[in-house]
Amino acid sequence: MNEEGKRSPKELGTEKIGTLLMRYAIPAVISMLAASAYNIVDRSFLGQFVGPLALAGLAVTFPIMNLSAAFGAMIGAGGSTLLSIKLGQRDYGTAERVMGNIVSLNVVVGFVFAVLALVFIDEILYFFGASEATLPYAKTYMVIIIYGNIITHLTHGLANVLRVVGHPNKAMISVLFGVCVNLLFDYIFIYICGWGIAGAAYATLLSQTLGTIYLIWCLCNKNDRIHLHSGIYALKQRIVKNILAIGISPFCIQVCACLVVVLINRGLKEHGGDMAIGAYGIVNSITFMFIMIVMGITQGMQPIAGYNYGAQQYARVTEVLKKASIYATIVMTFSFILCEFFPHLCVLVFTNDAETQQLAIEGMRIIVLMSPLVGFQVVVGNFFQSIGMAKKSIFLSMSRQMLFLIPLLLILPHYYGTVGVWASITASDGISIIVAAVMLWMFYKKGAFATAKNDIGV
Amino acid sequence: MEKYVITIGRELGSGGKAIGEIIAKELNIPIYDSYLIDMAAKESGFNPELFKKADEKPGKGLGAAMIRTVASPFSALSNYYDSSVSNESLFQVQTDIILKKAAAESCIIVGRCGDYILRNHPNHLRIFIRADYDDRVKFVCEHDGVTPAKARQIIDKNDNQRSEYHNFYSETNWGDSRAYDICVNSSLLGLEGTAEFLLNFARKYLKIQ
Repeated sequence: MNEEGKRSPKELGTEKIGTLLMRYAIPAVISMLAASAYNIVDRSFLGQFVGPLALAGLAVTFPIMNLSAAFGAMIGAGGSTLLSIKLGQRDYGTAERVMGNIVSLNVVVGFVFAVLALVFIDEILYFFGASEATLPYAKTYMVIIIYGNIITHLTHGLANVLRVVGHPNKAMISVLFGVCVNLLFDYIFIYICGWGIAGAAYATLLSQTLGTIYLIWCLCNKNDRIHLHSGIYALKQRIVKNILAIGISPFCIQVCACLVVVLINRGLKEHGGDMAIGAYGIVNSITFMFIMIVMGITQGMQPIAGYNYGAQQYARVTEVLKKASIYATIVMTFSFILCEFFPHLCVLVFTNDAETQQLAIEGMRIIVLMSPLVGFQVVVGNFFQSIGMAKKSIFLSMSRQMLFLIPLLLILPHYYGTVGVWASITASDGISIIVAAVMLWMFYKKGAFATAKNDIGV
Repeated sequence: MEKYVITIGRELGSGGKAIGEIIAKELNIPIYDSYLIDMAAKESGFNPELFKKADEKPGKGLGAAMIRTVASPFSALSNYYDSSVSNESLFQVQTDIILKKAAAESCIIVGRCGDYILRNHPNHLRIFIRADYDDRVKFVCEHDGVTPAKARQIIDKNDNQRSEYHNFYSETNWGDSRAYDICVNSSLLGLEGTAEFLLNFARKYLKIQ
């Protein structure tokens, strides 16, 4: 197996924490920034050149994309875990079959999902918050994307496989390449050809197709011990079962995330109309970007915290937690200042429509109220994960994104309309920040570090 | 003389470990079982608590993967799936240690998917030891000082755990005769008798003087 991108774990226990965190976090942050930059530019093309209704139409399709991504995550998480186990065993024959099964599963699931989605497209979109006005946009976009659903699944799934088999850089190139090509086609199809929202869909599809071709080409390289070839694609019961066993949890989480977006969309449609949904699309893009940067920082933190916890260097664990929290807070405070005091600047990128702008600004100003502390919440959640306390971590992640959010979304909009929708997100952030702080306080108070002595005895 | 390795899969309460110990003593070779956990912990400098948690429990319901999935829909962009203290990496540490032990000397490995991990070892005998259910209950009662009802509970839970673990990490089913060279019911000959029988078998097959 190629060792590209892997560092010796020893440095995790000795190198200065600040240096380590920088070294591990910066690549992740850059990747995350690229992903959200793409997200923003893609949407701003639609908002600027097609109009605010197109933005709303696009926002209506988010839950379907989430749902499709849920299936992708199921195969992706299960497949890559299984694949890395087999690679660790140097059981290359089985590893290749796992890889082949990942491809087949993606094709099968992608196909079934596409058929179901196409048959019920109108019902689904109406349920997710489309109106007479936005349906044409949403439908045009969605139908094209769904025809390419298998490609979408393959491009995400294979990039993941490529990373696991030892080519993280090539995997990253494929994604960055896809982003650039997508934006280029956005420009050509939307601005030059004037194809509207269909142009955005074709741009996405085309860039994913090119990305998939590149990925397959990389994975067919016969010089790699693990590569795609005939005879590995037949679905094997054991492999499929194991993939699903691991993948079911990320799947459920994604489905819940989808449910949350549906609730937000429906709440906004009922109380604020289509433009409010479009506004949510904008606000979502902006806040997403900053959360993604924080995610990048936590990804840098995880191996450092995990290793040092395992090696019982608890002072270093605390130090990396502190540093990551501080960096995350700085980033989120910056987002707070930007959105609270210069909201026009942020919104201007997406649309010139006065109504949408105003709605987006109103929403953004409410949503970011808690954001300086949200970074801390995310860091703590990931911290628990990196030291092997998965349950605490899941709880914290769910607390912010659904546990408190769903009931709030069911109640507040009835009394406060759109403001209620925005405020639900803020309130959920606030409560989950307190929960995270309490859990961290208890973790330290219980002296979790002190009791975990080097006490061997079974 | 060429090095050999004997791996023993066993049901809880079948006396598999005790039988392994008798064989190890007769052959004058070391035997590694749950003790492996400590060994792994010490050698890698890792906290043994973490190993106990992952001990023969498969890595499913992996919270790690869950959260990372929520975190980012752009899976390829992130370091997603290799969390630092996951059950998978613990299995990897155990694998490395089992391979190292088997390469260094002749030995017996009990449990931990040794049959699969050492599948490429040229001189490898794979044994599976089971026992009648009632005998297992009796064994667990005496061993752990629990009531028969409690023992049954322990046994059923353990059967589930071991087969899940084995079926997840290896390519064969736990206790399936096709995964082993010899499967034996220790109820028939008892611990001493089974050990003697297996010892003869091992001596003949592995050509041990």
